[in-house]
Amino acid sequence: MFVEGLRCRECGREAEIAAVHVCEFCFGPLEVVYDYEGMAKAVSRDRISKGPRSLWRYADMLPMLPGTTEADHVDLGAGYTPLVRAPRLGAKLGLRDLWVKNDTLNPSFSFKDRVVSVALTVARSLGFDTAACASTGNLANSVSAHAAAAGMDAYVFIPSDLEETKILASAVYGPKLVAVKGTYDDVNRLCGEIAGEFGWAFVNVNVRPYYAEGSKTIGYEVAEQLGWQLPEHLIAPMASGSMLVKIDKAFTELVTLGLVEETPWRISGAQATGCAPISTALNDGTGFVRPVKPDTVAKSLAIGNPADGYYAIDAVRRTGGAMGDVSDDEIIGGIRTLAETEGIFAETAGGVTVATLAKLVEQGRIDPSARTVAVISGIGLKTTDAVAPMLSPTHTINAGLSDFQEAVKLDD
Amino acid sequence: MPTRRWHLTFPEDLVQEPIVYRLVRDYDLVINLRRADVDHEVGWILLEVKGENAQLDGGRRYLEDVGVTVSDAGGDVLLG
Repeated sequence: MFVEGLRCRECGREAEIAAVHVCEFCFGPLEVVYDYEGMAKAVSRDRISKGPRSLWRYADMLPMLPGTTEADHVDLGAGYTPLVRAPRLGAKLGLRDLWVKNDTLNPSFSFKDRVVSVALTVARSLGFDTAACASTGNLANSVSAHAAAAGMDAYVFIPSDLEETKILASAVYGPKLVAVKGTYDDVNRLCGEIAGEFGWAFVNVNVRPYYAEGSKTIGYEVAEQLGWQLPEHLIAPMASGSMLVKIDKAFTELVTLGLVEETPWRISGAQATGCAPISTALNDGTGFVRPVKPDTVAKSLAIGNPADGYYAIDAVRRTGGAMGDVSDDEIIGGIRTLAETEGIFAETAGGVTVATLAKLVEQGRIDPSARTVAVISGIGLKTTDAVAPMLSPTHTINAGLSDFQEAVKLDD
Repeated sequence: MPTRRWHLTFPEDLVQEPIVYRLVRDYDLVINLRRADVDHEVGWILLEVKGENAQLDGGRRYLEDVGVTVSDAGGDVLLG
């Protein structure tokens, strides 16, 4: 347990461990502070390799409160997902050493299981018995599933016009599922107010400092799976920008702790053009993140006012990475390219990552020989509506052998 | 008294408008500015706002109607 407290990213003031996410003085975001000296003495490659095949192999590097034991972990087995070589996708994009971090293979099929698993573990340590979130998809699924497994009550807020399949993927776990009538902005406003009124662990509000730390495990795993080496380049999708920031933090921590040799890394970010406040701010040179009204097929990345936008820009600038954004058509193309070359069916956020990577390569903004990792954050079965109009049987035949032979002959 | 923490983002045409003054005068809200970055093109303000719920709702509606983007101090709450 190496958590020392919380610190404001803006004014540097410190705060005690509690369910609080902004600095009382300047309203800047709070971040967990660790005793890295003590952590360095405790962790080692050997100790980690003997840990569970989940994100909990890195428990020493996560914000576990004093007294937390392995039995306290809210654990559905999230993390330690495959890092696979992607030679066929690499050849198609013009990258000679491309890898895919396949986070579709998490318990509720997205990377959100990482952050929720950590958030609910800390929430229980802080004495909460109710978890909550506001979400249009992955986060709702993950909070519902983890709360069920932890025996916690769950309140999950969704827009009332959400598609039926997305409602089912949360409702099946038995949370109190509150469908809110109104616009995206209305739901956002109400949930912001609710989060301040009730004594719940609202995962991306009052326990956000701990929740966000769960994303570091993507960075830890990538390095470990590459044989304790940092990749030269990594590209991640951006919604709030938090995942990208935390992967960068993970690489820094691995160096600080002596677990990897310090080698240069670049981090790049991918957004959908219909919701690209962060990449726009970087690429127009202003660095000013203007809130937008999301209008994109990539619903899981549709955050118009991203909390970590400035920090994502800082990480990308500091490491020499790049940002780009892609249209809905390009996103669908990215999903299909990844599926057809590597056999991985990603949701729309994965399409954003692949298509943005392709665009950055075309623009000459990525070294084609660099060892590159693309983070694929969720499964395509959750967003089948995005690709369904383009996909159908390649042949429809009558049930006769000659019909099949005739149809196949047409392909020759 | 109910309290909110708002992050306001102003487009260029509103930078010179006395937005905060109107929140105090027309909606009887108590304002405490915590951080801000405003120049001639764009700007944002982080503030604490105290008032009765009806006043808070009215003030927020006014801001949104004139084109100010209002969000929770920690960014959007509704995620994917």
